[in-house]
Amino acid sequence: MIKQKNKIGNFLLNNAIIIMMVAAAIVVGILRPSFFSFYNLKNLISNTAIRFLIALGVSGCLISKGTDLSAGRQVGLAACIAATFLQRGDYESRVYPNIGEPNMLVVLLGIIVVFVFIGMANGVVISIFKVPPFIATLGMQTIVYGACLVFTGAQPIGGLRKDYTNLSSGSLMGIEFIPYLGIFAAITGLIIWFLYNKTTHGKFMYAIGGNENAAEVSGINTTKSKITIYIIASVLYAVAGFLLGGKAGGASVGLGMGYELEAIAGCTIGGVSTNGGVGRVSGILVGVLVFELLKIAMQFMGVESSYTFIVQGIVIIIAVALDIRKYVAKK
Amino acid sequence: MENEDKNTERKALLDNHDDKFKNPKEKLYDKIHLSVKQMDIILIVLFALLIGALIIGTLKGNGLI
Repeated sequence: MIKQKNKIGNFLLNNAIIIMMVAAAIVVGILRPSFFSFYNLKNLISNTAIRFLIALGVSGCLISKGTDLSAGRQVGLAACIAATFLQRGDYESRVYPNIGEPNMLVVLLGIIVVFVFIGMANGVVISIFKVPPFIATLGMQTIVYGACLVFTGAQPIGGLRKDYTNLSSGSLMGIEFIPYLGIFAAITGLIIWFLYNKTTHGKFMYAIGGNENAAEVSGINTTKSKITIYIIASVLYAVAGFLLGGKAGGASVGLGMGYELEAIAGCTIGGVSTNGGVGRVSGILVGVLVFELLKIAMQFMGVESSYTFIVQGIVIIIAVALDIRKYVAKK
Repeated sequence: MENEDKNTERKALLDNHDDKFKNPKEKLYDKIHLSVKQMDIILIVLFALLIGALIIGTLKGNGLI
């Protein structure tokens, strides 16, 4: 009997955040029946998908004991570039009226190429010039924001093509709860899971986060690994930004602001250690999902927006405190 | 001998199935000297704060206070 009680206690403790969120969702669903609708489910999946891509990018940096504060601004820049080149041909205020309607895939590949260089710059500054990741990516955040202001002239970009907006707001065969965004996120999640768990790059990343000096001693090219980590992160931001532009139906320099902190929060809730060396893709997904579910539930309950930030902050602290509690109990 | 040392170090780095292996997060948590009971109290306070913030936020958002 006592053993069974302990088992239940351990189960509750190990899954406390998830149980808490499911309970909250049930309560909100009872109080606001429209919460359990396919439309809301699609909204949740779409919002989570974009945040998940960003969090995956940030997770690589966190696992290798770094961070990326430029994530949000990079997402914003990618959205602005995508929106600029994917405006409707008949839209009056086109930024470039003479470029016709370029292929979407070409635009995406072009953005990815640009972002490979941004990621490489981050990686080089951190691994070769030994600038702390916090400072290096803070600098990149400002540079990218400035570049975005120059590129857009601080003007919002609208009049997007339907095929582009459909890509981000459409669903597979019209089934509302299988949005394309969810499919993209699932495929990317699988690729990143494979990269983290089945490749030498993944092993090296965890090793660098565990002990960089020891990793170097054991023959790992930490410079190359770190540059690769930041390039992969930027490519993920590029894809996330491309999709976000279409989902938002337009883009401006303010898009993506603060997303890096949401991504870091999602990673932290999902068990990624900001001290490096620890983190799983499944955890990141749960972390981001919990955060999005919380935000949508609070919107439905009509919680005043100022209080939503307080609640989100407390949830992050609870997630870390629960993790410490688990470790202390295990010792 | 030197090779063996190198191999052990590599194993500790890349293979965390070792019983004594502690990841960086666990090393960090080792520095926190709190008992389970103290952690429980902290968690109860945090949950109370969370519920409080949610209640006040909902009441304010719906114009009830």
